[in-house]
Amino acid sequence: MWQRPDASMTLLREVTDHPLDPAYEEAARRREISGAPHRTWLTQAVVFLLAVALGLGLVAATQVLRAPQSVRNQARDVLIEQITDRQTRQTELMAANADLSQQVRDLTAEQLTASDPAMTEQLQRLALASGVEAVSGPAYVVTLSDSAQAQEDPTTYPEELVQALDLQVVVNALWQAGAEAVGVNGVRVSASGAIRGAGSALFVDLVPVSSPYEVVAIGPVDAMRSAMARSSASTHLALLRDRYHIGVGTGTRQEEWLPGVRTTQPRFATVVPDPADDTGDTGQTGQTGTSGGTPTTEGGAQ
Amino acid sequence: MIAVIGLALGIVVGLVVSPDVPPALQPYLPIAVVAALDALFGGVRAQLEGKFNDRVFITSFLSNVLVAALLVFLGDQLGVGSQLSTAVIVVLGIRIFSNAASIRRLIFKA
Repeated sequence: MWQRPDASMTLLREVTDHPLDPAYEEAARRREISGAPHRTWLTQAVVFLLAVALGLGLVAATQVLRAPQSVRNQARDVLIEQITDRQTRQTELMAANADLSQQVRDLTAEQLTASDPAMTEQLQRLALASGVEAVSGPAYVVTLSDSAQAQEDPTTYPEELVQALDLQVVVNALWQAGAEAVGVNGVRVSASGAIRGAGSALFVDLVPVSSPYEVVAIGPVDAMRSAMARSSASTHLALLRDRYHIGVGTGTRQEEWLPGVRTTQPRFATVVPDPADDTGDTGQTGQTGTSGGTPTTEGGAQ
Repeated sequence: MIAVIGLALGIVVGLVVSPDVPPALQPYLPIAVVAALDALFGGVRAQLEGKFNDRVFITSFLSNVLVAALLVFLGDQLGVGSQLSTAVIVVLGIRIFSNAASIRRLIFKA
């Protein structure tokens, strides 16, 4: 039995040799045999309506396929709008929060200056040390920024991004060098707030910060500069600059302002009701426990 | 002829009205459009060969679209959706190509 040389490729031959629907051939053959087919107006109408429907569907499909970009953009716009809304709301709430805690401190001070001046003085000292109070003064500034190629393509050069550890080293060295108040990108660093990395984002006291990172330390500027130069942090910074191309800059500012820490909620301590005081006074002393209760250990920014 | 007029009318109406397609159908649209293109090319070739037939055109159009969508649906259910879509696209693409080549031969005689 004769076999075509391309017998194993029946499928391909079928597809390429007979692309025309066999139905056309068959219909043509039928017409040859029995003449033009008999057509009623009903079949004509059905064919017409089906054709209209198919054309309609075709255009609808094409238009949907051409439009997905705009639909996706719309969805993204809605999301972006929601994010901006929430961010605005968050900023408002944070401002209100800061305002209220300022009021609490003012009222506390007002009440205490009359009744217990020694306590007021102690409170103010503690508030400064614990970072509850906003402070200003001359500052020594260390700036860290991701390397140029990491900024363009963070996924290819993840090691050239500033890590939480780098900030921790700098902040701890600044505490050691005698800084009295430290902030990163305007967020106050205190003993109770951590510097952490989560994925590619860095958080200071749970507030996300991004490159360039500006570590501001208020304190004795000259002493801090020389202490920093002698510390192990300077070798760490040199390593960052030379091997990882991370931008490292230092400088001083005449006057720098740092806000108070965001949260002063004691985590373990609870307010002890004082049986000696009457009820009116307890409320006030209870609130002083908030700021006084924050531990004042320095250098605990891990 | 009546099918072509109907198709043109449907396209015009679709352009004017621009109807919405339910989101559930949207995954099947690309392959349905390719299947429709295949039917269109087949129809044009049949017309040039003098074998055009309204009813065959409409049924091939309709069944092409439906079968293509059904294949994609089945593939999605079986977890081989993209592979099956590729298979359908390849077959339809070859058909469109060879139909287009026949049309070219019929028109330019070359």
